Amino acid sequence: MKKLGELLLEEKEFSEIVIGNTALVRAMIESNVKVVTTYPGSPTPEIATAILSIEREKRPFYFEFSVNEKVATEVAFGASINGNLSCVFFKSVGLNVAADSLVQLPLLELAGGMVIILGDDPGANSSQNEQDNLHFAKMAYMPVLEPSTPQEAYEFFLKAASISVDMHSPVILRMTTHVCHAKEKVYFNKYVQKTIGGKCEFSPGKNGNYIPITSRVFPLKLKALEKLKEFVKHSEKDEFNILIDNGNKSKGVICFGMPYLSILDACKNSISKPDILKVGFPFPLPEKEIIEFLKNHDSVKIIEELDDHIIKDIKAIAFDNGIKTEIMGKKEIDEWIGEYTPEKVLKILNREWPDDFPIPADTEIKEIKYARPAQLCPGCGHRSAFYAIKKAIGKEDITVADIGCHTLGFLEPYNIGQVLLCMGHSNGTASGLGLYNENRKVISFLGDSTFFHAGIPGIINSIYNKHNHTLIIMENGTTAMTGHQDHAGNSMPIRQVLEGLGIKNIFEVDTYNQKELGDKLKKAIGINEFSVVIAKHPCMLKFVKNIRKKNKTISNHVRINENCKPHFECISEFACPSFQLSESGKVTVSQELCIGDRSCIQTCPATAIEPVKKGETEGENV
Amino acid sequence: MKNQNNINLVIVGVGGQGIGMLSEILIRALDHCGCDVKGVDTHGLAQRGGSVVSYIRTGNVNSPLVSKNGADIILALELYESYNALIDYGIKGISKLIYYNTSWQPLGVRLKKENMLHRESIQDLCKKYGIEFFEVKNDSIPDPLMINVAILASLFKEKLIEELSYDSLKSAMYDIMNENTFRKNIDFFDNCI
Repeated sequence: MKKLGELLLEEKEFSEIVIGNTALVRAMIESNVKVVTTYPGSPTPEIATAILSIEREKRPFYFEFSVNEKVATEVAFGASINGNLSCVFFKSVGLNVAADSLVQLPLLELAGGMVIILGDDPGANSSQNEQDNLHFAKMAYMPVLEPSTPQEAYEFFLKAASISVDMHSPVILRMTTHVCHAKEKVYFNKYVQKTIGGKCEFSPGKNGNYIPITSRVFPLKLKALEKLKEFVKHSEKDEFNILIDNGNKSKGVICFGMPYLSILDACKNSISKPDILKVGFPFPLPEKEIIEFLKNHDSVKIIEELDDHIIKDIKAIAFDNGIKTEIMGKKEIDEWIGEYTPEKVLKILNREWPDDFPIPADTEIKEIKYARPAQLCPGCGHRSAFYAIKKAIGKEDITVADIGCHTLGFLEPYNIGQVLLCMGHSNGTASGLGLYNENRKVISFLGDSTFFHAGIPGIINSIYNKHNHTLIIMENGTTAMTGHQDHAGNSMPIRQVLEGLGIKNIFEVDTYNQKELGDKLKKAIGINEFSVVIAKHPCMLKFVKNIRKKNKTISNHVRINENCKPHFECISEFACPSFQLSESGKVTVSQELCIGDRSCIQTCPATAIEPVKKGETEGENV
Repeated sequence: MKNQNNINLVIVGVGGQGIGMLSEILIRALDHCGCDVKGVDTHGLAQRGGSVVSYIRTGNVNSPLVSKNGADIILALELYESYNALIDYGIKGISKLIYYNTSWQPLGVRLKKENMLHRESIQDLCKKYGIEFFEVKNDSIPDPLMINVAILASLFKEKLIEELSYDSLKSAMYDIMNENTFRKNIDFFDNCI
């Protein structure tokens, strides 16, 4: 078995099949990065997986899961002004959390350099929106490099790090979901460990002003703007830009990032092929290349995923330079939405140049697909909790969801969680919902990792301003949704934190004990002030994975006995996917899915769910 | 590169069935055979029992994503996902399908809001659109998590990708599995072929 941790430290040149996220870690190592921080979020958590594959004592940099993206950014910033090259990575909406600190960075001299890896998510594959973070970059005068393949991700990181070190400026490496997760053979350079250990050279006198307030801001802003001009020169270097010359003087396309690949695929079957300019920096743009490309074509189509940044910038460049080339941006509103897959790009090109890019007629299909919404895993403690909570609260009561696996409670059949904004919003939103509200109880939810990430201020606000709602903390001991990363709760119990805040009404219960959970919740919502129920059960997916790692098999399955009426409570209310319907309409237990947790047994009104006894076969179901 | 045949392969199933592992084995095996290969998993919230799709493309291609109706081969680890994948990727009629005959009923079916799907419906759909199909079902499968290996064995046995050699598959498995897992999987693979 190849060991990833050893491969990443290989001294010789080598090639390996990896995803984009893994390729970035090799680039960090080769760039002599000294500090890496993150808060887990898709599509970037596999960067942490690759880092953790290297034994701690062999890892050539410091790494931490910070409590949230803002803190992660600050830790990386502190390391950089101490003279160390640092890197922070997080998902698209993580930037909103980090923004308060992040927008300051270009104003300051980052002596060691700092690369910010952003995992944007066109298509909202695993996010609450598909925000385009070029907005932030432009607002903060921060340059952005965007790769389209894992190979390019590796190479662009090396270049971003080098530029950042030279310019003492932050550089954003903007990844998107299917660049993070694309898998291909990547060719890596040799690695020579340059220095061991890091620096402690923070020197405000030498590196300038680190206190940007009032008029002290202006010289810093001036410097940031001057640096941005320098970045234009970087963006104009040949190494960042690809020109595909198809000999078409009439039509051209300008693009960046992964849509470039979709354009190339769309051109495979096109009648005529436009010339293509792919830029490495969507911000700031390589003006010289853009001007030349515009001048050399009669009409140029800009293919830009999500919002229209470079479209506007290119039109401005053309106007300022008196260029009369026809420039076409987005035609329809759907071009602002979703990932620019090969299909979508073909459709966009077809709208512009229907004769060049014909779309094959769609086969008419009458068959309808089966929906398979995401669901809680078999044995999940949250399922047991939602089942009990639904029975304990009133029909008119209001439930406020938060981010985490427990968000899935909003789905059928639980329908718990009626409103969602972002990480940690639930207590603030619940407080507002409690105002002018005499009759409807408000119940907010929070996961344990989110409690530390952004949940605590909302809780303190509820105490301070005497809001009256009940918070249920769904504690599973891990950051489950993103792949079981560790979090602060494992070194400081949530209950202790709550007690420290002076909360009097704290109830704690294992979610598998549904009756006790229901009773305690009723008691909590009956109290006329802020109350907390800690509903805990360890993540069972993590538990099952650990069992499998030890090459053990799952046992203790349940089966349905002759008492089954059937009421279908296990299917329609508890809804563990292990309960399936047989051809004759009876309930059966899938032995492939059941993990033997037995949290279902208490839900059956006919006591028809029973454990398979030792020595008996599990196969026969009534 | 020895082979520049363009093969668009789509692997579908439910989160937890080992689609990532199957995809990783195939990508590495195709690479061992000298193919230019790329792929991508689209998993979203998959570990919670949602649909998982993994794409593999060989030859002179750019995007790792396979377009609608663009699959040459569909490997389906579960019946409902097989049906959905046929509609999404296979209708153009040149696809070949290998599916494993097991079902993880989606919630709508369990709640009786949607009809139950039978293997015959998949076969009928294949016949309607001229899709060649192969059913896999192994009653002596040691672990439901090895459906992926049963599918892989069928792909090899039916020679749907002519470049794919036994040695390449074996070394791909060896690359990514520890000794125990490798032994268990290669023994089962050998039994299946």
